[in-house]
Amino acid sequence: MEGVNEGSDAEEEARRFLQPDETAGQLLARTYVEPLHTGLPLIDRFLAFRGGQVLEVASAAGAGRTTALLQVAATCILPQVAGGVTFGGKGAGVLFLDLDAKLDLVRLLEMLDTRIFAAQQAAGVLEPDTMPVLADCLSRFHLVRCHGSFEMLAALCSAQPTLDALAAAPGGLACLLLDNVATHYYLDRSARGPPSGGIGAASSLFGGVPDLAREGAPLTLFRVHAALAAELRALQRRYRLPIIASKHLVLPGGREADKDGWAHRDPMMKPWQDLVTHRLLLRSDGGSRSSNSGGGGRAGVVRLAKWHAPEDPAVIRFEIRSEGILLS
Amino acid sequence: MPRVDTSLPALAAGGSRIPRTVEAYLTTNLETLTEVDGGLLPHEQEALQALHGEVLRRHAPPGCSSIDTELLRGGMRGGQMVEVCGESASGKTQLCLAAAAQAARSSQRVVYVDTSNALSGRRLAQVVAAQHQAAAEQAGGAGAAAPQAAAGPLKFVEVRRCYNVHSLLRVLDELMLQAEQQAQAQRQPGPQQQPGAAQQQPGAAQQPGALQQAPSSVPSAVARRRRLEELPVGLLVVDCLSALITPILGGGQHSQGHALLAATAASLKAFAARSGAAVLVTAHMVGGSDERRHEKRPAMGESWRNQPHVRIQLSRPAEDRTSGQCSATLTASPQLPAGLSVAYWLGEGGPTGTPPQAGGQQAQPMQH
Repeated sequence: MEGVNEGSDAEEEARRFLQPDETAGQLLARTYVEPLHTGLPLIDRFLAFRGGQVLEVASAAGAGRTTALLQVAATCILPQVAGGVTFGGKGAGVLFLDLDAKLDLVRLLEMLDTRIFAAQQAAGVLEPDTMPVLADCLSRFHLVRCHGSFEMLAALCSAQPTLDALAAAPGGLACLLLDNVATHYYLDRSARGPPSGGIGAASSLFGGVPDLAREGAPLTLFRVHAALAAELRALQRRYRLPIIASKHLVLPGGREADKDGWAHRDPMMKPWQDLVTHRLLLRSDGGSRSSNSGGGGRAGVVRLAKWHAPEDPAVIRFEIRSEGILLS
Repeated sequence: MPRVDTSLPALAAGGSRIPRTVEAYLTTNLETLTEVDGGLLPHEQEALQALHGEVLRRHAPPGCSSIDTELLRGGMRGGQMVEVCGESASGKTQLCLAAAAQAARSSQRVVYVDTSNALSGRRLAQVVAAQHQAAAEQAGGAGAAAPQAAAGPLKFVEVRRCYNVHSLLRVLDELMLQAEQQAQAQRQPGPQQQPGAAQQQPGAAQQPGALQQAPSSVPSAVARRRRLEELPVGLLVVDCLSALITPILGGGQHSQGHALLAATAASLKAFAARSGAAVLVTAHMVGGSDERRHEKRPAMGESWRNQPHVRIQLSRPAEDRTSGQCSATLTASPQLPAGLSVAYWLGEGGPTGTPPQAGGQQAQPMQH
């Protein structure tokens, strides 16, 4: 009798094993990640940006990186529809890590204000009042300001409760933005000791032999970038987040720049480079070389963008206005 | 806030009373706005106050009206680092003096880090007096109010002399520590504040209570005269930062030049963010190498370009040396497009937006 039961059990098991687990429709419903509409035409027109992808926006100073990130943030936190007016946003939460310690909230407020005002006018609202919508948007924008690599890693380690709260909110969690991952390049490259505490580490960096037994191995450039990449991968696995990071480049001046305007040296180490799936380069040429009396600077600046990964030879022209970046 | 185009009919017809530009925020009295009957809804008020607080964060005007209004949109905001670079004798030190004088006159503590012995107490007193006179003239007063002693505001200015980067970093660490202590003291009010609070209860104390308060009023009067170190810093001026950093940036002996520059920038920004002070930094310009010898560039290089919040370049056009008109150009700013330029004149009270009257004295450029 047992032999028969075992035989039928094995057959049952075999039959169960051969049954399909789910249909293709169920699989897609379970794993399909909607692309993020970033509101930045430089990205949306060329790429369907999804969770699990990491986009790096790299440029020299003053080319519009922070403006690009703020535009993405604004599109994410604007509601889809509110009070009968369509804003075209996502109504989701955003975590912004300001590693440069330079973010100007007034710029974000201006951008939001312009877009809300324009949407309300287009919908024919008689007395456009941007304040309640603005306050609603700002409640979904979370800013973390870091003054060093150590603070950045600590912030990422302890970001889980904030991200959980944002993901549980009605709109969900849209994306994670990092402003300038290459800020502390020179500091980390020369660090010979672990930080003793905050900014005081600056003066203690250059003296004394680190006591490895007590303090552990020093935080070198490679370790910082490896830790950063590992933290971001963990967050990606947990939340399926799209990540956009900006990177400051030191473009070689002089003769090298004349040959290829897009040549640059990557300040980030291999662990970070392996994490990045897409890279966009920005550049601004011309501008106030000789100061003319009267605002001649605006007309002279030419802003260009080029996709570096995946490689695309086309060069895109854009301009920066009060509501953000527009293709020209 | 975007500049509102008043030609829009929707807005001209009784639009919202909430100010829409940074300049309007500065001139609007928040209390009158919320006191008007039918004023603002509660959530509007909260949001407005939060915005107001953020936009208005302890403005420290640099003292030059044209640069204030046009380039900085009302002045330097607390928590921001402004870099002013220019050739020699273009007015950088004068701008620092004017900013320090303006802040000191509004009773804010000023820390002036002097790296090249360019600060002269007499000149600072002169600037304070000139600003006071200009303010009195503007207010139209007949000088009835007794002018404050010229030394009055100067007691808020603390001068530190630093001749290398490490002493500057030490000063910044010290200021950071003071800011932390002040923040701590604010969170837990110390024993000195209690007698002051007890004094403020008017008439609520009975006779024995009043007798008990009388002996404690004497130490509170002494405690009210606080030391300069206990005041929060309103403005930090570093004149001139590039004199400390440029010598160590070259390849040769110093391999840590860029790291020290980055550490200084990080410390300055962290201090500004922590204490809410405005930071003003000056830099000089150098010529390029080889064929670009006549193009002047800011001295601290590409890796510094990214660090300050706002960058302004002062220049004195070579053809126009007699008229004394100089121009200030906005090189980088989070809010305004780069390239905006405004004219200013160097006068007795530092850089001013209006040309000096004929026959007025002009300050001699300080050569160093």
